[in-house]
Amino acid sequence: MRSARMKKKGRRRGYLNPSFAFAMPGTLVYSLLLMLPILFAFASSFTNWNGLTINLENLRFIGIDNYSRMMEDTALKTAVGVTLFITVVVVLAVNILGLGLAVILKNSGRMTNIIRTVFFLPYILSSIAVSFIWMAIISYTGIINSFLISIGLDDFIINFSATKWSSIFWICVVEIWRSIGFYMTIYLAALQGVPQELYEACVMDGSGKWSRFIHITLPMIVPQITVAFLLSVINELRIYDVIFVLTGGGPGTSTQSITYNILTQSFVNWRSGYASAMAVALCVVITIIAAVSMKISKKLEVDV
Amino acid sequence: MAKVTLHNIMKVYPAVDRGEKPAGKKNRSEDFVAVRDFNLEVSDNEFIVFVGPSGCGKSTTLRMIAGLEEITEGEFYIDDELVNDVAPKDRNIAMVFQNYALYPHMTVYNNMAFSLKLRKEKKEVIDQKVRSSAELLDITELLHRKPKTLSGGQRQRVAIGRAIVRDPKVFLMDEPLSNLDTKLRNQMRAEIIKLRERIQTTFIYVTHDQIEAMTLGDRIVVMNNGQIQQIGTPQEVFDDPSNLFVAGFIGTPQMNFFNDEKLLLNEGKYYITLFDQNIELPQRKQEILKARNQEETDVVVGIRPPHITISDNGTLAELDIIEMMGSELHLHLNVDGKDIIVVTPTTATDLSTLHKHQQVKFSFHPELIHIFDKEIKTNLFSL
Repeated sequence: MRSARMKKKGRRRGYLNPSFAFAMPGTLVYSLLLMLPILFAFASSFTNWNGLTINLENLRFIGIDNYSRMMEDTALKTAVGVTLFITVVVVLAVNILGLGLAVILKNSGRMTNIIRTVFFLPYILSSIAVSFIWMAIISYTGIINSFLISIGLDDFIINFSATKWSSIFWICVVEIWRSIGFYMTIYLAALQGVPQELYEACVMDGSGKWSRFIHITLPMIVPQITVAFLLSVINELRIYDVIFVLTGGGPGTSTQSITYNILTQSFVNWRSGYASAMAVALCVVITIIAAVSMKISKKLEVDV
Repeated sequence: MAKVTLHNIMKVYPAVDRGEKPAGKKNRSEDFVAVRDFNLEVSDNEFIVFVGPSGCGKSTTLRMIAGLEEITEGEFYIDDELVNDVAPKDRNIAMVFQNYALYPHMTVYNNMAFSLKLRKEKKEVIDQKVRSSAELLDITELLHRKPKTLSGGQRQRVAIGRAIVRDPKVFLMDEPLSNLDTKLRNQMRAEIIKLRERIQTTFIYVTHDQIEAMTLGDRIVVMNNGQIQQIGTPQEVFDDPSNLFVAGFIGTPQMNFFNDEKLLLNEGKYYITLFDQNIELPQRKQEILKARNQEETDVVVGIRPPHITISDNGTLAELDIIEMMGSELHLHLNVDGKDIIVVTPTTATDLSTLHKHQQVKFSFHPELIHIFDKEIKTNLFSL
């Protein structure tokens, strides 16, 4: 009774509901830094904005022109191809190898704990730093080539940025090396959640190691596989910094990813409206992939 | 059906592997000895129950039989074949786990068919075996359901079904009823007794519940601290407990123990001191003690609560607590500060004549008392 009366009194005097008051700072920061830019990007994707001018006279609403232009953009088509290729390779590699490592390192011990940490370490470094480390190793004047030259194997020196495919190969290697520890950790946690008894029941039923993996481990960790798969797909579809440091999108523009292309359009060619349209399209694609894989996972998921 | 022989079985967990194992006796530096000197012969078609408190090694022994734990020392035979190093799947043993361990992503049918599929049996054979086992356990209508949708009792049946569908030589059960409520547990206990009549196989059953042990087992193996304390039929274990531990563990309420008593020998006859009296032992017990030339010694005297009666003559005591249990009464008597429990049928007692702090007299038949050596704790009447 008393609190109800106080509430009423409070409202009459024009006080805010305390829960709103507490949520306000966060909501404000979130809106200013995230929601507003997203809405702004969405709005500007229908304009010819160049990203610089604030003179509204030159700003024109051009409808879906930016979106239809994407269909004919050959640079974008290359970028989509490169991004999809890297995504498929890296997603498969980090998930399969990550799960494999998790299975090997499942039982804790001093040595396995050290190995787990070693695999996880690259993930806590920034991808720019990781890329520079790899540059120091694989660049033309890097450690590998210096070593090869010093032992007289000049014929075997690597020039990773010489061709499109060798560049993509090394981008994939660096991406896999950087993120595999993270996915291994997700799978380690997943494996530890599978009840030991199920394995024992499976042993009693006459199964071998492989059959236990197929019949128990995999079905039991479907939710974590979905999470890892989704995170890796989203990460790779947005790949930018490793490419920026390793190849700069080259040779030529042959290793530009979608995000790389968006940033080039926005800050090199100053076509922010068009870049925004591409960003919106990428966002929609990622959302669709996420929704579909969640749906599939829900079907496969095991209710315990 | 199979004969199972365990000879000098021992299980030691090296110090480094420990952590999740219960505390117990230690041997060698920090090694944990979970089971030692385990000798047992289980005959064809016999129902054996391992019973004991938590951490006594009963489940470890069962897991060694299943092949889920390595045997550190000793030999394990199934039908005279040494199977220490035989993989679990080749031992032809089935096991029902405490938490059922049903595969949550498979239907009941697939749970039951899984082991047969792994053995690459023909589809028709699998179907026939699964359906006949389901019929036996009355779970045919559950075959298409997932374990999550089943009740505890139904899951238990499926777990048993999954085991019997393989037609195993030995059927192991690890505390299969401990997750069920009392009513369901009693029901399932009766079902296991019936099941046992229908499927002819050797059963080894682990429980910490003495009622399950007494009602299910042809023979009971009482364990404590990793060692067998007694092997015998339920009747033998109840009537002639081999030592103080078995006497205290089997029987509810627990046997009354009188710790500071003496066994006296006077003119060729044995007496015990109890309640400031010297009580002459009956003839049969005299002979047993004589046969082994028993000397006078400090003893613990044990009397089971149902073997004490409230009577007009006997030792005087104060009635402390009256517990009405339905068909029986538990009376707590106080004799010089010592609590003695008496169990008496409700029908044989007029409750209105009993009230707290009343003086009552009780007596017991000397034939029904147990005497244990105070130092080595063994039953002096055990042959």
